[in-house]
Amino acid sequence: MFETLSERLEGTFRSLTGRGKLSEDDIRKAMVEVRRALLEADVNTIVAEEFVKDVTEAALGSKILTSLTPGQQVIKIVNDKLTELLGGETEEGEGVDNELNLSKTPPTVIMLVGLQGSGKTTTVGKLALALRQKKHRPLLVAGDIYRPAAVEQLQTLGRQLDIPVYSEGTSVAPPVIAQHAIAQAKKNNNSVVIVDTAGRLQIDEPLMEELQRIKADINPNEILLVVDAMSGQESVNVAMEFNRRIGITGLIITKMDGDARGGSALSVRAVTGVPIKFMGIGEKLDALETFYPDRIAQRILGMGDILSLIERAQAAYDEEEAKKLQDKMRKGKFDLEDFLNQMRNLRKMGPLSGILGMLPGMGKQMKEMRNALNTPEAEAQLRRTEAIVLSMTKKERQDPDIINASRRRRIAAGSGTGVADVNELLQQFRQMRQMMQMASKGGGMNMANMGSMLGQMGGGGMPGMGGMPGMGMGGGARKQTQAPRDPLADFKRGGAPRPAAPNGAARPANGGPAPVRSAGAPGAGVNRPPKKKKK
Amino acid sequence: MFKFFRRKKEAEEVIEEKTEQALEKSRGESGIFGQIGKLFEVDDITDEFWENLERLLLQADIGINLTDKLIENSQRRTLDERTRRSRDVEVIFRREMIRTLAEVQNKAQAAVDALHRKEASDREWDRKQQEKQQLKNRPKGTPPPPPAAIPKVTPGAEGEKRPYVIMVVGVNGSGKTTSIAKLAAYYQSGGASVVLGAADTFRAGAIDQLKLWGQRLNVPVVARNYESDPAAVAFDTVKYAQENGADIVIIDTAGRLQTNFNLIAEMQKIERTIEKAQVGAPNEILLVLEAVTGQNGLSQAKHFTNAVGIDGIVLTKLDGTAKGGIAFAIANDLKIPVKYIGTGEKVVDFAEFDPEAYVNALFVRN
Ligand SMILES: Nc1nc2c(ncn2[C@@H]2O[C@H](COP(=O)(O)OP(=O)(O)O)[C@@H](O)[C@H]2O)c(=O)[nH]1
Ligand SMILES: [Mg+2]
Repeated sequence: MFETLSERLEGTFRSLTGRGKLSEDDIRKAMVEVRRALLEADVNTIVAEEFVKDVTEAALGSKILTSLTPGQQVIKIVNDKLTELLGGETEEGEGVDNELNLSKTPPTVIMLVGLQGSGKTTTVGKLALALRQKKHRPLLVAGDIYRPAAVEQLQTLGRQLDIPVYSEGTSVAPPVIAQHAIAQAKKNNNSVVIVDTAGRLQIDEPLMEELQRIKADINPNEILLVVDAMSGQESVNVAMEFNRRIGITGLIITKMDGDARGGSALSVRAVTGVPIKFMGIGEKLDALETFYPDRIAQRILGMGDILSLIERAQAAYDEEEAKKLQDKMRKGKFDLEDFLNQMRNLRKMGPLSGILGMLPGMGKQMKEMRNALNTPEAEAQLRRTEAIVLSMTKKERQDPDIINASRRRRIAAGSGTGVADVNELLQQFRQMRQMMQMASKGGGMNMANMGSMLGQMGGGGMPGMGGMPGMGMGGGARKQTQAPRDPLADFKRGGAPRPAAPNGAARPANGGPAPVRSAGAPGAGVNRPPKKKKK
Repeated sequence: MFKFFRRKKEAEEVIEEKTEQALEKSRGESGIFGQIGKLFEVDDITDEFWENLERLLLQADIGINLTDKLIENSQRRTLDERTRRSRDVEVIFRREMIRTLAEVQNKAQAAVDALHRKEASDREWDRKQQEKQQLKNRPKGTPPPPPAAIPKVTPGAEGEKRPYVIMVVGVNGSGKTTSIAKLAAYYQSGGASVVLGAADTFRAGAIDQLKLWGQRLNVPVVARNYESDPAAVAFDTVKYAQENGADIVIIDTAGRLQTNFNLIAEMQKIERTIEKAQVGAPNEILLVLEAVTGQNGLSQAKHFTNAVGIDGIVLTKLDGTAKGGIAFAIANDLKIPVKYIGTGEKVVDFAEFDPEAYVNALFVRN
């Protein structure tokens, strides 16, 4: 859906490649694109404008590093500034502030606040689990007495985690409940108290006063504002008002496992100056991550996030299919039908050039590869290849060896190509099959092989693409997200689809396809076949 | 049931009033749309004016692409009509905005025509403003007008009654369960018997939440245990409704992100299973989207509609300061209409969506 900023800037600067210095005019052109990208990522307009001003200043007069194209140079400046704004290391060398403030005299009191539906209660559970893993003894407090069954929700989470929950039903005022909870925590030696509060609009006067009262009564060490990654421009006003009324100490951005770009995270951080401490990346209770500014900067820009690339690859891949494929490759039985499928899978992940462009710090080899594939000719060649394969019968695709001269003529005519093209493709296919058989002996079918293969089919004679880190598809990549064998293994994302949480809510797979998780890059248009409209 | 006697005109007024009350808060000093109204209080339309307008539209989450389009169209018309008068430009611009929303509504053409007629004269416009002022003084907490008609499904071969089945989907926390309670009350107020299905068997407390609403509204809730197959719950619910001759079935589903392949597949399975329980069902699939949603709303609408085909959107939490501008972009790009709005946490905080009332409410000055 969204073109990435890097793609756009490359486009803007294509004509400039080779020039030594960015002119003011170049920068102005680039900044139009930068602003658009930020807005599409939900960065607040005012924040975006300020940001563009900053970057323009930094870019003006900056000498282009010889190793970078002008487009890359601007991207680098933008990326650095974004990272800084998100709380990354500053030029003065200040570190990332994403640790919780713990009280020297326990219990540490943490309170979560935010709009309705932002994910507070689930996050209370996640924080509790994370803290217990650090040897804390948390007590959870059911402070949402308004939403129907909010107390039950927290109690269920407590049971699942085997962590105590303090509640007094729905008729005692939340500040009173919170005070009682602290007293109990002291008595029971709980080292952390995490208070859940009802979702509220920042303009809801009585409820904002209630928060002020809770704050005054229990004096929390951390007041964390929970912000939905999918929220738009208004998140800034929400955050500023919460901050003004109760003074927030940190931010938690939830639902980052979706395809939201998270520009609101940046905006909220920018206007409050409060650090982002955690990110929610799934429904399971261990799906909470410490916040890393650089990764989100790249996500906002829609570039370079190798993780999201892996996830896109996973999403487009069916694990079982990948395994079958590996077997076939090992046995040298990879056929043109598989080839077509693979090519389509790669297509699902976006134009090739886009995918390869997502890799930061590409080696020289990769860059060549990318440039070669980036050309319109290469894309056209790929389309031609697809046309040829599609003009074959199923039988021919499964057993290319039966394709004789008359079949070749038919295929050429059907695909609008020449017999020579068909011959060339078949020859390359055979070479590739052999090569893959060799490669697959060493490990899984991976992106490197695939890229190289398509490169050959496309432009012919791509340099080998060995050594792309962590790019295994199917088996390889999944291992990285798979849980180690620990008692919480069932919580882990990337395992079975929503596997059973200990004695808790599970979401049966119902015979769905193999576990895949799609996230990351913008509009990672995983094109599932559109379903027929009902009725 | 006094509600039946409410005149149609009055019903329209209540919808307008609810829309306006919901949007009222943002028209304070910092409110975006109040500013849009104010923006037009200039003598001459300048470049700076268009820049300011762009910024305000962006802040309403309308998105850069549609914002550009709205502004370009308005600029073109302004040129065509050779006017720089701010009042003319305002009318042109409002028309553009309403058109974007109205074209995908059922009453599309009628609404656009009516708009043209209404905006033909400034005097009419001023009168409208005065009426609005009066409406504002109506007490809050008025229930929304009942549906114009209770949707009916053709009975089976042996004359057995079939309920109209609504399935409600959306991302986590968007307001599905609450909206279901509101929909139930809305159909009840029209005299329909409603059954709810607790097919969110995943989120902790979700079944209890729906059951509590059921108790309050005196509506049966069909449920199984947590962790049980949501499709089976949906199936049970439809069967229960058939056996008890209910008019409307509303199926709650768990929140899911549109990018989660397995959960989307799970939702498709629920849909298929409902179809097995009754041919042609679900008759309506609603996507619940919260007003605070940014550009990701487009991705939500796109993925959900690819998976199950969305008939309409429930735009929730309009009582906040967010204006739900992404709904414009969704209407424009994907042709999916907004059907209902949620304007608070109580069941009465609900109304049918009326594009004209919505856009007009955005332009009212304090
Ligand atoms: N202010 C406001 N809050 C709402 C509205 N609709 C739902 N909510 C709240 O949003 C939260 C999540 O709603 P819920 O129905 O549980 O969402 P679900 O997870 O999609 O089923 C609850 O606290 C609701 O009270 C609305 O129109 N306005
Ligand atoms: Mg729910």
